[in-house]
Amino acid sequence: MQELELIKKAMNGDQKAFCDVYDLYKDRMFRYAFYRLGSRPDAEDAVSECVLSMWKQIRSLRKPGAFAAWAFRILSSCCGKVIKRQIDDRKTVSIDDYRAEAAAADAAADSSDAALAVGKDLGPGNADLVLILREALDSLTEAERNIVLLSVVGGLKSGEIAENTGMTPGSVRSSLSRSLKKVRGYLE
Amino acid sequence: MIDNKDFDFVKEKFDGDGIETPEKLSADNMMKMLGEQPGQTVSQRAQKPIRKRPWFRPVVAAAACAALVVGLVPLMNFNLGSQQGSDAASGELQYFSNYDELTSKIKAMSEENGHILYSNKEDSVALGNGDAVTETEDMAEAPAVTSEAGNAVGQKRPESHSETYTQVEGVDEADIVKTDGKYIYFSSYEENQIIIARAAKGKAKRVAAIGSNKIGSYVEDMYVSGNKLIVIGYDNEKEDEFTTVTVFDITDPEKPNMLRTYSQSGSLLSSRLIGSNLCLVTNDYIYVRTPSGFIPRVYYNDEMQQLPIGDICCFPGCTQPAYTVVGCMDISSEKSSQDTIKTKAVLGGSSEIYCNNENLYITGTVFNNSGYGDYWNNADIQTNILKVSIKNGNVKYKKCALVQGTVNNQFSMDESGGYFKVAVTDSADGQDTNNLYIMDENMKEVGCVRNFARGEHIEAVRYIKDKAYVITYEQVDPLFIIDLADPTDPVIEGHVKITGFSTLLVPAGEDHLLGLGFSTEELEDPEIDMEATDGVKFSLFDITDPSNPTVADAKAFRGMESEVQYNHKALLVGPNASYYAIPFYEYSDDSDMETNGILTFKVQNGKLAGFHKYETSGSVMRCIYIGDYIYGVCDDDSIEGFKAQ
Repeated sequence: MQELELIKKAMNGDQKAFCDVYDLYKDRMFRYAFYRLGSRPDAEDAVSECVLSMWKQIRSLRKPGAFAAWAFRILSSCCGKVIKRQIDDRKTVSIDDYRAEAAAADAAADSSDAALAVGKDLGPGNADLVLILREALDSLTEAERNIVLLSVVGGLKSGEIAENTGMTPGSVRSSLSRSLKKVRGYLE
Repeated sequence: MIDNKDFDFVKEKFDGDGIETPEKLSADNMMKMLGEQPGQTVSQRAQKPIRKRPWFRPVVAAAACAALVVGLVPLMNFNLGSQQGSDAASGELQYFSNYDELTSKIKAMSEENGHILYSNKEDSVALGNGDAVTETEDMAEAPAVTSEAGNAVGQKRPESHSETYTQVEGVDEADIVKTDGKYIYFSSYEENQIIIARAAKGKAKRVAAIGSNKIGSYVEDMYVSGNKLIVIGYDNEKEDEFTTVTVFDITDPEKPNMLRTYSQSGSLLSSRLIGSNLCLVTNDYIYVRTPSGFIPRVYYNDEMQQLPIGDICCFPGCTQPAYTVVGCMDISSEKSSQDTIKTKAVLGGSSEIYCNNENLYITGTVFNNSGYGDYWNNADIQTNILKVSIKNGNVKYKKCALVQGTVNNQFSMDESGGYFKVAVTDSADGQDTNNLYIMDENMKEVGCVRNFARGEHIEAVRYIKDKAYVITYEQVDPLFIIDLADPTDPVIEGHVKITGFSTLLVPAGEDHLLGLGFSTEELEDPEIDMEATDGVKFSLFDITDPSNPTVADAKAFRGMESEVQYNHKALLVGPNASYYAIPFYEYSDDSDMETNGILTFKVQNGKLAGFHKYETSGSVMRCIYIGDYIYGVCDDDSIEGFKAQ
């Protein structure tokens, strides 16, 4: 079934249709949350919370075509809540923590038991690349990071990102352009 | 207009990260989770209608959460590091005797803060290597234009028309839509181009477009002044970050002609136009710089120059490598050169500016507990304020001051009668509180109102004559009136409370103050102590008696939203304030209909009156007036006109 049809059904309270639409978005949502939050369990929490929130507010979606922008606006807000919790728990996430985790995962790779324990939290995934990507994102401001993730991982258009962030489409385009240049410069 | 190569490259990397969504988040598991939730069936909705878009702007009671709504609160830059001790408090800027000293300082502060300075290209940028705009031929062809010629072309005189709504009279602010009373100039929402349309009797006809090949930048803002169109944008041709000003001759607006360009290091923070003096402020993050280029640079057309060491200074105690670059450009001149453009840079980033005819004040956010996580934690943030004289097109750095707390926006600041005033919200001890400081011309504090509206934060400020009007918000919206007549002893004279909150305060005659902002409602989720905005609200305050202000009138439009809630430039004030107009978007649950358009209203006899909606097919970015007609410039590049009622 067409995505828009599913969204319309979901807007009318069809839970199955809602979950079918979610299925199309879940990978993008999880990866966005992961890069925002830097931890798999936190990303899981944020996405779960987001899905719940989306379902409760599905009627507030103004038009089916705005689903992606709407979903990521709620997800962004849920990530914000998790970050607040991280601070409250004094578990701030830094690149150093991630490096330590990655190093632990590498070290544990030889011992399968430990690898299961640690690697589960980090990966699965291309741990080295993930680390570099996170470092590259770290070279951006929080606002730039959000725009890059909404674009590259979330697949939103600059107009949608503008609606999400309160910026003008022009400034989203320019910010995205220079942020992508920075990230590319870092990755090359 | 994003460079697809960069996008594709980065996307390919991310696509290869191998991150898989955990089974816990599968659609099936979500179905189970939702199954346990009270699903929103149609019948339940009928009993308890959910208001529109409650997620639009959640307002969390906890202070630290204020920053969570990404993009809807002023984004703070963390480009200024921790500043401690008497160094920062001294208010004196530090200068360097040579480039080496400056470069060492930057390297040292980068190491201190764990910032990575890296090159985004191996080759360093050589001086004047042609890495510049390509329109030199056009520029050579550009004829000398006089204002007489400008008058000769127009068939008839331009009608009375609106200007961008600004903070300070006589100080123009750039925007995405401008008019000269005959033509409408706007930055396209769809593409990177400027469209020029001729408007008359409610109709607009597209007559010209300036494409990105001509502009050489991503358009962010523009001005129309006399026969000049000034376009400001992010440069997409140079290696490092540059903001470019392109001046076009619009003597014949249907044939815009490029005259000259000027670029300075950094991304656009803001700008002002005072007479023919364009003041441009950019933020220059050094970490994206080629290693040889720690020095801010300018381009006069295609001629590159580094700033002389004497024009670069440093905030006292600054620890992070970002420059604020200030350029003052005489737009009436034909040439781009050091004689017509003055540029200076200060090490230390910036977040807001306030500017009047003589002085520019730049604020920078100072985070006292550094680190990624602390970005979200509002605690202990200070604001560094730099005073810059821009009189007669010269740039002179004066003094700076450090205050506890953060600035809401440009309206939080004012300078009059030789005193600078700034209102801030501070949450250093975990709860919001607000302070208003008054400083003399040397940026020394002479008076202060401390700790007002505890538990609330500032949403809007307006200074009118010797009073400050301050809107704070937590669950209700009090308006405070602070008397500043004696700068050494400012006092709160009175306050009044109203639900919702205003984000923009506009004087409406001598006796009234118009508040534009949000209506709010309590969220239904009992677990979250949260209010959410649910519409647009207008409040009219009677300020005849400052000790006893009253709410003269209020009107809320639930389900409506408008850019004016975030951006004062979206407000249109009709001729002689005979009416006000804003762009709006509205959604109705009942009819499942969405409406775009322009909402107009009046302030009459102490009441809000004459609300009228003009519907448009496109989503309105700005409304302007020319003569008797109101025009909405829409995001589908269409313009719709109506006769003002």
